[in-house]
Amino acid sequence: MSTSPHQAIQPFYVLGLAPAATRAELEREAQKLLGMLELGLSSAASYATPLGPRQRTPELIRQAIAELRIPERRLLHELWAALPAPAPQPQPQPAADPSPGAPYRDHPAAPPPPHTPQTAPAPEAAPTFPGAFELFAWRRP
Amino acid sequence: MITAPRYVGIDLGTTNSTAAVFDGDRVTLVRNAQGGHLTPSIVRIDARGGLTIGARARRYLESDPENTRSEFKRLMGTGQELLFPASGRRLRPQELSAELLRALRADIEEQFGFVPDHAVISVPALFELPQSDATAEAARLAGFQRIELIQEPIASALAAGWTAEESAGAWLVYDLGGGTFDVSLLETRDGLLRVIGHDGDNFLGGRDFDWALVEWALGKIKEQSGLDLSRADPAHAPALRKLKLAAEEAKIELTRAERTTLSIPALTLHQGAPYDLDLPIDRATLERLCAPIIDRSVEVCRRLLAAHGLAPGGLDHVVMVGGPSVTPLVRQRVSAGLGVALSDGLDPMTLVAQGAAIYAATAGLDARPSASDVQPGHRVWLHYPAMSSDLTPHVVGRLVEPKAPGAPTQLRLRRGDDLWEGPWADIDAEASFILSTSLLARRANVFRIEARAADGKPVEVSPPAITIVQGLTIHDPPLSRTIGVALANDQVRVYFERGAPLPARRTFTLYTVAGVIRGSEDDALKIPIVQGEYDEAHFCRLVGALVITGKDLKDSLPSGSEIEMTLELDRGGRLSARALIPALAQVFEDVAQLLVPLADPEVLAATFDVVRGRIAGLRADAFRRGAIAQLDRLSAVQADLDAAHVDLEAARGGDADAAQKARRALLEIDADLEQLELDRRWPELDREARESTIWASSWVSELGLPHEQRLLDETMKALDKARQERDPLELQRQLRLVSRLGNTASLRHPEAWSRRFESAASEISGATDLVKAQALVKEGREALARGDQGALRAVTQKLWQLLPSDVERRRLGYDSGVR
Amino acid sequence: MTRCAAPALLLLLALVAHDAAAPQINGRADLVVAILFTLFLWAATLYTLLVQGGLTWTLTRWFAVPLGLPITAYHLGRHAARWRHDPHGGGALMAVLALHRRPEREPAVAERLQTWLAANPLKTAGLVANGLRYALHGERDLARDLLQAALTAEADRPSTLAATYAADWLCADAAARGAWDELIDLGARPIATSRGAAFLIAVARRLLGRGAPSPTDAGLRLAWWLAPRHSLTRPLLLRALAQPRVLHRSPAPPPPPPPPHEDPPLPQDPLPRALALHARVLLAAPLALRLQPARLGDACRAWDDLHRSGLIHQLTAERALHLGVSARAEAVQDAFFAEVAADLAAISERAALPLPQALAAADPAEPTPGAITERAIAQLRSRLLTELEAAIDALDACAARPALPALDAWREWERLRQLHHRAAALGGTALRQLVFPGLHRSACNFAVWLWNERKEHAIAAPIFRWLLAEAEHVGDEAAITLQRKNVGVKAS
Repeated sequence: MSTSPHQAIQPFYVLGLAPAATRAELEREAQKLLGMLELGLSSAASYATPLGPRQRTPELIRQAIAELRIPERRLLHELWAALPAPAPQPQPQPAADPSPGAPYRDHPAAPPPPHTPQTAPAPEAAPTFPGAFELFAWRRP
Repeated sequence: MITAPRYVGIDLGTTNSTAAVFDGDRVTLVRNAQGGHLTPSIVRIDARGGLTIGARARRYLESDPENTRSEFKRLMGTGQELLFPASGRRLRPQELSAELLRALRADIEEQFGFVPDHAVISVPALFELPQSDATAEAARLAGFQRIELIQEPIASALAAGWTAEESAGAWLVYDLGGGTFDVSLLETRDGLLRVIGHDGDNFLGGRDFDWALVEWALGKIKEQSGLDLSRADPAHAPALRKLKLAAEEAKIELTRAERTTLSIPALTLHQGAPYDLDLPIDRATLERLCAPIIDRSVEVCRRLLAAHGLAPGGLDHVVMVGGPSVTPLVRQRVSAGLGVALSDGLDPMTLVAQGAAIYAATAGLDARPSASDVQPGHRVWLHYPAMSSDLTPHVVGRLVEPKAPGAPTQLRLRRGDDLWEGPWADIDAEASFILSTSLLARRANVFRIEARAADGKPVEVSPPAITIVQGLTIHDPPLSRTIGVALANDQVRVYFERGAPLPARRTFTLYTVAGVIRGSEDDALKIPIVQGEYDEAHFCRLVGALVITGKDLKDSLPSGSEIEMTLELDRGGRLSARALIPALAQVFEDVAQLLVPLADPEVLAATFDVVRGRIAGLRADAFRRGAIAQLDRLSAVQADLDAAHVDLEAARGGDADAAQKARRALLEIDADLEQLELDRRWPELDREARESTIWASSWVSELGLPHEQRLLDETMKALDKARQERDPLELQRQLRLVSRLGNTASLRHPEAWSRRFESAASEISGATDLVKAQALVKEGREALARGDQGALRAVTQKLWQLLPSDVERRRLGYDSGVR
Repeated sequence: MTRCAAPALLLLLALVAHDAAAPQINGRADLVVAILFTLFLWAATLYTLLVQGGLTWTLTRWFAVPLGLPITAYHLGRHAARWRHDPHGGGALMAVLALHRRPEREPAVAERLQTWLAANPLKTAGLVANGLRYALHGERDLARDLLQAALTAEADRPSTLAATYAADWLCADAAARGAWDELIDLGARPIATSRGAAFLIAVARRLLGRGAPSPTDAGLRLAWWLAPRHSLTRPLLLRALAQPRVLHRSPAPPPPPPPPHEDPPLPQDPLPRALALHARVLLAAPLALRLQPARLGDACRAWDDLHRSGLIHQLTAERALHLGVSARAEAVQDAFFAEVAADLAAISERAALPLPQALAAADPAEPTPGAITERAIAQLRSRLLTELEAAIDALDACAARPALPALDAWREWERLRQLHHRAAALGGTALRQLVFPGLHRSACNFAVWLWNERKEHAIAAPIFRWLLAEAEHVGDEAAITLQRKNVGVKAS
């Protein structure tokens, strides 16, 4: 499934407003956010959702406001937005891999890709050995 | 130098074109050289290549029809070239439209003293992508730098809403044009206009009144003199042209007079002598001829209202647009049919252009050439709605050079009338600020930007002032017709619904249904892009396709490979597509943009026969079953088909426009028939569902495992739901599941394979290789006689392979290679 | 035998002819004859030495491959006696190994490699070469599948060199991802592993303390010393040595302790509470490892309860009145629960966690799914079945394409197999029994086509084996008999 979960692109979260907002408030906020994005202001660049902060784009804002203009769609989104988005807090940036070329790391820096067919999970704190390919003189994929 | 913004809107019509200029307070219609507001959409090219446009060209329509072209808007997007024999020039419809736009542009310069660079151009609500693209191209050819398209009904409603005292409520825009009929249901709340729904008839228009009159006249001529003129005969074309012009004039005359005469001296040659036409006609006759056409349009309005749960009386405003809607008969019948008074004081001929100009303000498309002189002061970037329904919109801004000496630290707005000033807003760390406003309703509000530095001294900023118009708006241009990707199972993966705000972008993951071998030219993956509101792909219009052949691939692509397909539409509705194949990290972007297919009369005639056959079949069937409702609906479809036949005949006579009309008519009729057939098939499907459940539950209860029993119970629930909702696709899905469960259980029966063999043997007439299938059946019978279950099983499996698969379905889905 | 005898005879003849001609050299013609004889003699000697004496192999293995000369490696390699059953595949394998030694990608060589690999039928060496080629292009998932398949194809003759290369790469890949238990599984298979792989497997056994006896410190050091690239592997050795040796496998791995959670407290109201539980599951779902079954179960339960309580009905009715869409309230409520169910189905699929199992984990006393969970289960099942149907159709379509390269045919099969694996994990035996008849029919036809018409035995054999195992699982007697016959016949 390629579509994001409903909670991630909730129009009320995108606009940063509560379900009780009036239509004029929604329109005004959308207009303001579009302007802020156009001018490249970082304060408008992301929005808070229960799934963590997400990137705000002009398309998302347009879609959000278009959805909320249709009363029955708005009603549906009000249900999803019954859980208030957490107050935005500075998210710690995912730490960059200190030395991607290093052959040995004690902790996985990144989770395995979700579609890895092998089912066995890596045990807690199991080391990885990215240098294993060099051991056989193979190029690291 | 003009200081206030000017917004230009153009109604590029089939019959007439109009331009209007909006300055924030008032809409002014542009006058052409003849002093009129309407410029006939007619272009003439004489032998020396000289161009004549508008009313002056219209004079030649009768005397020199070969070199004078009208109604070319209907051919937009077809790629068909129109020949002007005298000069030998061939022009595409968009080039002719460009000439028209150029003339309108010159008229604007003449009246307002500037050449507009930006404009909004209206298009019919049901225009498809190729047609919109052609319109945009025409504007570019005419020299416009940026344009936006707006659908005509939205423009009409915007214009009507701008002038109306009380605009809240439900609106119906009844737009009867020369050749098409569009009706739109809109709603205004809090100053915002929202399109609720569209409907229309691509084959109904003012010209149908003319043709009805012509057909009536032809009948009379034949009756009186035995002269048989036919639209199908190219030799009769000149006479018919004369007759149609006379009919048009008579129609207009009859709106005032009670009776008139169709008189054309030397209409044609009859038995070697010139035939003079002299045919009296009265208003009652005209009304009798036109009433069914108008009633058809009212029926469409009712259908639209019903679809959105509105009673005809529930409308607050009905706006009439288009030349034919001036006719008293039309106004009277529509008003009576919908049970509501029509909005008056609006000019149906220019309303669209006015609305387009107002929309240009919403879109912020100031038509004046961009000022090159830099004003003194600290430069600020501002973002605000040029037109707003909100009384207190925000103005967001950013200082261009925050580090410059003496840069402002606070800003505010002061309204031009000096009766309001906003609070001071601080400039934050990103050098940005948000200013509040307060607008006066229904007018252009000018705000001066005041700024002060850290020491409190006033500072000059550039620009020094902005203008925001308050009024009814629509924020983003809505998409006119649903766009999606046709899938291999003839379904449509919808990307953008009709009415979706533009610009828009969406990505879906699709999966290939067959592998594509690297390097192979024969292997191709086709991703068809379609436009239309039908669930089945083959009823929608193919507007583009992305084709990836084996030669383009870095590696072979197995079936089921992921394709991340992105469709993007810009504000003008221009489509671009992008397919990413993650496994190969390859991106494909070359969409073959399609043109509206040329309608070949022979192909049309063949389709026509097929459709007629289908109707006959359905009708016979309905008679047998005594299904009265079905018969009524079939009669309506038959009437549409008869109307299409007139166009088909005209197409045979060389009328490309009529051919297009016939093509669309046949497509819509086909879709209607499909629905009828589905309704007919439903009881059958329903019966099949009931039988299958009985069959499967008996097998499962006898030989099934407990979990199979549970699964069957669940499936039967889903099946019941699908039956209640009359959802044939879901029903078929669940049926498959039920049969599978039944099969699994029945397989445990000792005689399972002999039954399966018999069932497969009964279907061999459809086998791909009949000879081989017959041999297999013979072999199977022998195995059956021997009681050799193993051999029987092998034979049955081989037999299954020869039975027809889903090839047909894929063909219907425009050979789509994705699901 | 004949291959050895013919050159030997030639050599003998040449020597005899040379000796016979030597004393009578007089005149130009004789000189030419003598030179030709001598040249012939040398060529024959060289051929005998190179091909029959194993020199070709030596040159390929120790010269062309290490120096990164793919074209030489291919041409020498395909003449090596070692690859005489699969000269094309063997040569290509050598070429890929050489390519791995080159510092950067060379599209031209890669192109030629692909033509060599297109030679049919595909045997183990060819499969391994293809797998290593994908690895070279960074398509690790594909490489892994292909090399695993190569090992399966080799199930009867596990000791070939190609299998060793495949196992080596799989070991390296598992170690690089930290999937040490895969290494233990690889170590348990009867494959002759290289010394590098042996070291990695020893490390895995030590780290996880299972799979054969956990190696001693001395054993580990020995394995390390035997493996190449000591400086590279030293940190790993030290890390493994730091892990205490486990002598007996613990009876059952302790369930992962519930993380000391920083979860925010759940809201009291039922709707926000269900939404918060839903969000919590979604937060964990992208990393399937972190999603605990009980959490998904809690979320399902919360939705089921909410649905039963009728609260949403009340809520939508009120708001619909306010928004002026009372007539649509019911439809909105339906749409809302449909979206919830779709989310749950997607989570279950992504995390490979069946919803009934999640419910049971949340509350073993009440494992019956409610309306919303039922809907999600049905939705997922129907999706999986549709996917499988499409994959089976695609397999059927293969037989109609005689020009389909063997590798592409294999990929079609592999995709179906993986899809089935995933679906089986989610749908259990019920789903497997449901799809088996159709799957068996198509897959068996496909494999028979591969075997009989395409002679692709290396690809077809594992399909028969897989079908047999699956038939045994679902208990389809007729299919078991048929596949036993197929496996028996094909393996001989």
